[in-house]
Amino acid sequence: MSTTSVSAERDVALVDLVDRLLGGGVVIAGDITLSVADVDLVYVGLRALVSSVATAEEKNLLPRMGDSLGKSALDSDAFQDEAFSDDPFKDDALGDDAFGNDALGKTTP
Amino acid sequence: MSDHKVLHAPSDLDVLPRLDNALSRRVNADPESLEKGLAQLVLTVVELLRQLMERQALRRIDGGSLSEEQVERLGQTFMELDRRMEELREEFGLTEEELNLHLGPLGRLL
Amino acid sequence: MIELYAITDDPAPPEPPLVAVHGEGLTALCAPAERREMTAEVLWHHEEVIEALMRERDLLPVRFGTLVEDEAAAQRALYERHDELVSRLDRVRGAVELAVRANRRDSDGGQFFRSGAEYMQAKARQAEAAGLLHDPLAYLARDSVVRQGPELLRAAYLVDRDAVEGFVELVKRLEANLEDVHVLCTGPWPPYSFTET
Repeated sequence: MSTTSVSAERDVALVDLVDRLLGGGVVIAGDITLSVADVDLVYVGLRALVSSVATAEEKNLLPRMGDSLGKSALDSDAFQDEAFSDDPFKDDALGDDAFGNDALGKTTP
Repeated sequence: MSDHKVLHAPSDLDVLPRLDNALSRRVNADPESLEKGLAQLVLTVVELLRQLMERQALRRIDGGSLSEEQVERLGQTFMELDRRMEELREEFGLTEEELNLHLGPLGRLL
Repeated sequence: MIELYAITDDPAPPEPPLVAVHGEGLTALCAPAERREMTAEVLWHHEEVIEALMRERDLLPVRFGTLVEDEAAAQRALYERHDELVSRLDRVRGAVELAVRANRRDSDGGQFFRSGAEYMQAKARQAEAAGLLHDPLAYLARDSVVRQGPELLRAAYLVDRDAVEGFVELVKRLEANLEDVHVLCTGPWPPYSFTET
């Protein structure tokens, strides 16, 4: 590594640079230009979801495993309902689904 | 601060995930990348939930409140979920790094 | 439109083309906005500007691509967030950010697990290894934040400028002590990860 050039080091450090420039720093609501305007709306929705999930995790209110995985957004054959007929958290005092079923996509088959 | 940014690196840099097309994450307007962009959003949310659930499960296991059978089932489920996520990522040509979205002023998702 | 680069409480004027916008004891360092492509070079150039500023003053870097209408708008931002910004500046004074990413050598290989229990055990071991790496570093640093990424550990540490060398030495020692964990440490960076409460 002692003879690594600046550009090679920059390649290696690019992940950390992007992480910081685009994901860190003071956030001042201004006129941020995103080329696809409607994607903004989706982002805001996701942000609210992330915040509520993070908070719910703190308060130990995450939804039951069966609900989220059994009707997952992946819609995979691997997740058969039978696998979750016994709710592993049945005896737990976890509270109700913190978001309501909709946010986690309890999709109808 | 110097130009040199790497303070310590493993002897084999390949063990770290590469940032392929990290900058292409900045959305642009053509329809193909719009679809990929949406896939990215959806998969990122799913990945977020997967990680949260895994962490929750680990805490439950640590706490000793789950039976062996439950642990086994959880493990199988997470393995399957992991495999499925990998398939979907490949389908959309997304790397793991790309599922850690930077949403401009809204911060990083994961 | 003007682009915001950094916020500081040092009133000294920056080198052109940057200008200082003052508000209630704080200064926003700005430049006229330019349309640019998003490339690595553009990002590195932006980073260089902020690092040059940081050689002369403590600052909070602003997120890349932050544009406001004019200097009055920049000033309003300073007024609105004043107390928080002052507190954050105090927090990062005299310190830099170091980035750490770590992975297991076999993490890419698609490990094969014979059972669900084995999978969960592996995950638990990973979490433990991440803790063994992170905890001593966090103790040494002024502050730290762990991010969820594809790596075993992806974290940022706020380290006193004169403690950087010792921090890197600790990273090397910890890597040597952990089986098969490879660690990358980059920096110093402006304190991007420590600007928000």
